Amino acid sequence: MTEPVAIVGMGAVFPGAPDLGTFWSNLERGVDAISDVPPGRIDPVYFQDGGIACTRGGFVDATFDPIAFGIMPLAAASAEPDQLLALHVAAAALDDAGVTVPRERTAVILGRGGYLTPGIVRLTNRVRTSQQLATTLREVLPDLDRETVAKIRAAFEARSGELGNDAIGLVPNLAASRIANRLDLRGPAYTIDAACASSLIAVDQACRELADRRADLAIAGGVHVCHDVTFWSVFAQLGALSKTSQIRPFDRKADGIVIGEGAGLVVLKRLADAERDGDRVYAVIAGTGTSSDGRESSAMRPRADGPLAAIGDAWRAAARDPATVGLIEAHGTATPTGDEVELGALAQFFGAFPSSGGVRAGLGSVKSMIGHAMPAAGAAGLIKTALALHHGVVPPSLHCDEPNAALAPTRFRVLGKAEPWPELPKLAGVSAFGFGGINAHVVVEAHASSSRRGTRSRRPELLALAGDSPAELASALDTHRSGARGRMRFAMIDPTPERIALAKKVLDRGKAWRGNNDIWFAPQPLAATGGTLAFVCPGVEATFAANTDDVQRDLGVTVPEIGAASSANAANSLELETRGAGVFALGRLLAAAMRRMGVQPAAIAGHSLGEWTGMVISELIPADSIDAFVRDLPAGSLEVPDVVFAAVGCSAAGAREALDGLAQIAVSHDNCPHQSIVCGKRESVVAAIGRLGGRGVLCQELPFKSGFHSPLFAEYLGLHRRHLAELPLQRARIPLWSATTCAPYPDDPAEVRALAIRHLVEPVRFRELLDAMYASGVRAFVQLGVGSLASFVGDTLRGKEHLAITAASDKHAGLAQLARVRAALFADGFLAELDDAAPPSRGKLKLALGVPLVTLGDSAPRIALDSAKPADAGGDPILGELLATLDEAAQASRAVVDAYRARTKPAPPSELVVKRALGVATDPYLLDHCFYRQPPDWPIVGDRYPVVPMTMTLGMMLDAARELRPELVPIGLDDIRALRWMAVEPAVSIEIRAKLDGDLVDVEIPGYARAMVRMAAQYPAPPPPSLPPLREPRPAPHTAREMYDHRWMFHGPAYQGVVDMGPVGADGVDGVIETLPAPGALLDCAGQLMGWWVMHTETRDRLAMPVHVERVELFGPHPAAGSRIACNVRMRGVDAKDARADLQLHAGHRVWARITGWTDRRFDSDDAVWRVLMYPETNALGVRGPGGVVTMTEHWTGAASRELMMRRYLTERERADYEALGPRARRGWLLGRMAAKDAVRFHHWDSGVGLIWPAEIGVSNAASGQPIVDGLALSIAHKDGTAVALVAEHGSSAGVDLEKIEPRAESFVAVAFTDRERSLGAGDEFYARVWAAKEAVAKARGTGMTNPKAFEATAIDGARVKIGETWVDTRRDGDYMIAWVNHVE
Amino acid sequence: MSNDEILRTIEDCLVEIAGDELLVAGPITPATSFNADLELESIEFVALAEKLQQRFGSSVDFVGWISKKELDQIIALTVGELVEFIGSCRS
Repeated sequence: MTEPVAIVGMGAVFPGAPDLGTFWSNLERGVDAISDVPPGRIDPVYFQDGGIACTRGGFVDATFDPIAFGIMPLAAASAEPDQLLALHVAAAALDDAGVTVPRERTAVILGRGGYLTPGIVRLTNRVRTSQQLATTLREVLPDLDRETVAKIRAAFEARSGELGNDAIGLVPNLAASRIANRLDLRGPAYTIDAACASSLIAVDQACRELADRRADLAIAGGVHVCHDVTFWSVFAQLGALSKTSQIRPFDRKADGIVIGEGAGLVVLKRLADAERDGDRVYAVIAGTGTSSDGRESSAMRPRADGPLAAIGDAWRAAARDPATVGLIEAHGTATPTGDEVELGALAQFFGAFPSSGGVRAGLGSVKSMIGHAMPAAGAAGLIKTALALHHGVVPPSLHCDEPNAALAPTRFRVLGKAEPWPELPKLAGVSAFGFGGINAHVVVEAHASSSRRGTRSRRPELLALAGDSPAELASALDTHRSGARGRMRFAMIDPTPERIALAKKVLDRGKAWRGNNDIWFAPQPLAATGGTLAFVCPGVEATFAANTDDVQRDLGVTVPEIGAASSANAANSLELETRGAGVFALGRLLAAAMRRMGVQPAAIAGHSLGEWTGMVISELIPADSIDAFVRDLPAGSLEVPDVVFAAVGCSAAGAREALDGLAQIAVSHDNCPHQSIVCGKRESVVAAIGRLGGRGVLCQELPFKSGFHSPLFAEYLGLHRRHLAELPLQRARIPLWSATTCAPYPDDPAEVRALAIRHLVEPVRFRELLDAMYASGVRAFVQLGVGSLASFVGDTLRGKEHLAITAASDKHAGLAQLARVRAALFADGFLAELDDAAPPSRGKLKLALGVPLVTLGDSAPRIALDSAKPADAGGDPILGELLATLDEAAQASRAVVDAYRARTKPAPPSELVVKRALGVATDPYLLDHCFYRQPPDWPIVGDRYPVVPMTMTLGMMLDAARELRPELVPIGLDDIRALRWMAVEPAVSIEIRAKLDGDLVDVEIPGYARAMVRMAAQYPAPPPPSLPPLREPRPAPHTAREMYDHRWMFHGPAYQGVVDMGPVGADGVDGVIETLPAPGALLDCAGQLMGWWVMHTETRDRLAMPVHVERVELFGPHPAAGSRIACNVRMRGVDAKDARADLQLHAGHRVWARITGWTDRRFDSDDAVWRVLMYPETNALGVRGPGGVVTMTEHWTGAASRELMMRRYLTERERADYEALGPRARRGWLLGRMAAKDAVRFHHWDSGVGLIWPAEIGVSNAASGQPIVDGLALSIAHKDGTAVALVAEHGSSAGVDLEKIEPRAESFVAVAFTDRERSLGAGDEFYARVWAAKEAVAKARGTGMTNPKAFEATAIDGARVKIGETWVDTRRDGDYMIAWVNHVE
Repeated sequence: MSNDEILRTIEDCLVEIAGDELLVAGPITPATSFNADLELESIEFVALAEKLQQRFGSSVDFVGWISKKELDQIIALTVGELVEFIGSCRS
């Protein structure tokens, strides 16, 4: 028997099935996914007038997320679609497998034919057909001028689709290579072509690679995307294409195939390895067989011998009894001969149905549901079969209404409906036979999954419950009812019946349970009792293996360092650095993932080199220096020759005793009570290991030579000192704890540097550090990496309530492990809720799988065919006379014809509608045109608010006008109006409507913008610059670079084109702009100069955005990227609302563009608003008053300015809440949120956290309506245009209220106040004061004031009011009264 | 000391180290695997070695015994094997 190979993962995109799950559901339910030809695939003309008779097929509707794979959207649009489809499916298959990927030893073998695929067709059109068109035009219309031919050719090319700049990407083998490249797999990667047998031959090859130990993991299968008419016509000519457009495998009326498409890939591993690693096994490939027909058959006259040989080989290789087969997934092409030959072979090999009876085995073909997917067909069949074995279900096969007579002598039947698999050994065969006589067969067997933990999947099912008693949770467990409320929390992964049984015992026991068997239960969640959460960052350990590909894809980043570190050998000093870089990169990746999860740590610590990761994550090193820090880490500096480490299984004290008398050795790490590390010269370390081993202590020498954290490293410090000296430092955003001092890092940069040096030569006191952090209130420790820190925590804090969990593990793939972190943090209350909503979607690209015939529309000139030239009479007078007469007659008749044509000729198009999709995926440069800065790595693109620059809108309008009047050029625009921001996250689809209006083109983008475009046959001659020189010119106060670096502009690099600025005058500014390739960049930069002048000159309402331009005149085509253009801005006036200017852009004294009356609308904003807009992470709009109460007032009057600040403060989810409110409610709610966020930020700033962005503070509401913010007590109140907020440490309480002082009716007073209260005083101010005080106490209690008299004022002392036993402070502020309290008796 | 008594002593040690939640899924038997069933971490192994020495004395060289094993043997190690080993040390 050959080496059995396990199918551990699968991915599929086939007609009707965008993913594996849908594919199986379709198979089981017998969904017929064959459809009519969708628009844009094959032009209907080919089916008309005796063309192709078959009009149906299997079509996929696929999308692709280029950013997830690090492919530029533009490059993706021009790539061969089947490459992207195969890449998508390969990644899906690996994710599905969830196994650790041995990159160096992973092979990719892909079946793919060399057909006329869409990318090749587009290339052919542009390069070949366009020339063919020109040649033919010239041949049949010799009088046609060259220019017209060139125009037609250009129009044809322009409409032949994207060519992109990497036509090399169309080379066929890239379908496999791109997978290896994008997923960083380093085993062999290649395509093979064996026609319809390709997929199974690929699987056969992959099994050999695995059996020969040339690879440890293989991705194999096939892809086919080619609904080109050439392909259809070949099958139509052969007579193999169903004339009834219906594929009926093994039916009497079968008349051929319909064509399908798609991609299917399986992830293969030697069965023994899969069992060892506890992988989920769908099915086992027990044997494969291949053969060719030799001279036996021709393409359309198959013989049974070849297939029989392949089937026989496969079953012999598998050493299984053919009589035990339960399902044959047949080739089943539904051609009469093909079916008969195949049935004959099956009868011959598997024998007749035994007279002893039993159940007939199933026979089917997935082609009946998705069509014939050619090279991918075998993969579709294999995946179907593996799923059938996995689920124990024999799926149906369609349209075999009257079985072919040749079926009867076999042991098979075709099932019309799914049936459970009979209790046989679950064995199946899959066949694929290709043109030219290539045959393949695979024997597949079911597998009792070896994994004790049951199935793993990419996104494990997560069950999260809350309740007030274990019994309540247990009953919720039965109903799988997620997300109830209550003080106790419970979470589990993959709730199988066995695990639910265990979970009930856990609940019954009533005590906390944290993580065993993927179950978490907290009767008293750690966060609810005031516990905080810390990140702990591992250093370099003996082993490193992390599979975070799915996490990287999820976050849209690529971190090659992690894969490189997994394969690095830490014993080699050079690779030690590779390993270090991987540890570091993994820490940062996981920090980003945690941030995305919504987890904010209260502290960060690192173990050994992990402290450097901590410096980065805490932003002790500023975000913009981090890449430099990583890049410049001193190379080759970690190694110390002949100095080694040994991990010893005892306490640091125990280890120290054993070092007595040994030279040059010290305890370098005190990890936990049962582990420490010694470091020293090898002979001393060996001696220590001997002594400790003698006392029964486990010891292990570590595989790297370094003297970190020991005095032996002292002489190697120079490099590190220099590196540290050059690093800019700031106060950490989140306190970073030192394992040298077991306390948070100091604030003073000099002290930080000194401590960072001590860290290199002094022991790591991790155990003491953990004790100190615990004492400070930390109860949950999340390990940002792989390694042992979580177990150090467990050993150190044994017996004390705490949570320790790792965010990455070698047991589970990245997202699966993060799901466990979410479960754990939910159970202990560190995550308020588990929101399983889809992650923020990025723009997905719809794959252009069809290449419609090119129509030129109005983009090419029309040619009227005139009659032939007059003949030449050759000097013969009679003939001349005759010809003249004929000519007259011809002219007369031509005049008649012309007149007739003029009457009936359709008017040239006067209107055009262009649709345009806009988003950051399709237009990535717009990520550099976002209004709002957010923290680095902030995952929500919408919070940055990418918008289309007005100048890019102008470009789109010009393009539309040009499309309507292609014979003319646009020489300017009049009356340009921008109506609102064109925001592009989420992506939008806009319409550009162009309409002829005399000589002008009226262009409108409904809802957004409008302008009149002036067209002419050519551009006017460029005039010299004409704007007057600046008045009172002086040099600019800073450079153009500083304008960007100091955040005068929100623009990112793609729009940072101003390269020189100044002089600046009383009436404007001059500058130089480098033309950048991003659409609209040149004119946008001109607008930046104007905007800068306003910001620089005005002290109020500095922010100004373009809304209107009177006139733009263009004197030539747009300057090429890279050209430098001088720009003059001359202000015409600045009033309260608008700033208006004239601009000119010129090169070499030739004006390219003259802009008259460019108007910027000014946003009402004062200095405070301005500061918050420029540096939101260090400025607050709220004002902190007595008692820490933060007051927020409206700094604006208009809705536009309020909107501006709303987006500055709120994040995506909060904006949805905001927008759900009515316009009246929005005002107070927004002020309240802003006040709360600022109150929290003031609080954190007080505790030394340096940079906090408004978006980072998540304020939500508890069921009671009480506002909640991570780890703090919070209270908010608002009235009219003011809001107040107060925070207090968790565990204490905060209550704040704001009331207007106004006349109160006696009836109100009687209801609101008790007699005793009324005996304390009277008057509007008194009532407001007491009422506010009562409210404040009610809020602090968290109960709300349902009964005002229950909160009785018992005494009053000036501005202090005693409610019950609690004294409340109050303060009058104008017409308002503020009351606050931060503890209640 | 009978094998059953040794088993119960090991169970006591394990509960001291990893908490009584170990027993929720059922009592510890000779077939219980340290790795797959108990999910014992390496540090806990060390702690177990310490406890076993306290209970059974230095004649039980758990560390020496473990260090002779290959990694896959350690991964597959069951409580029953440990019981046998301790029994053999004491006889």
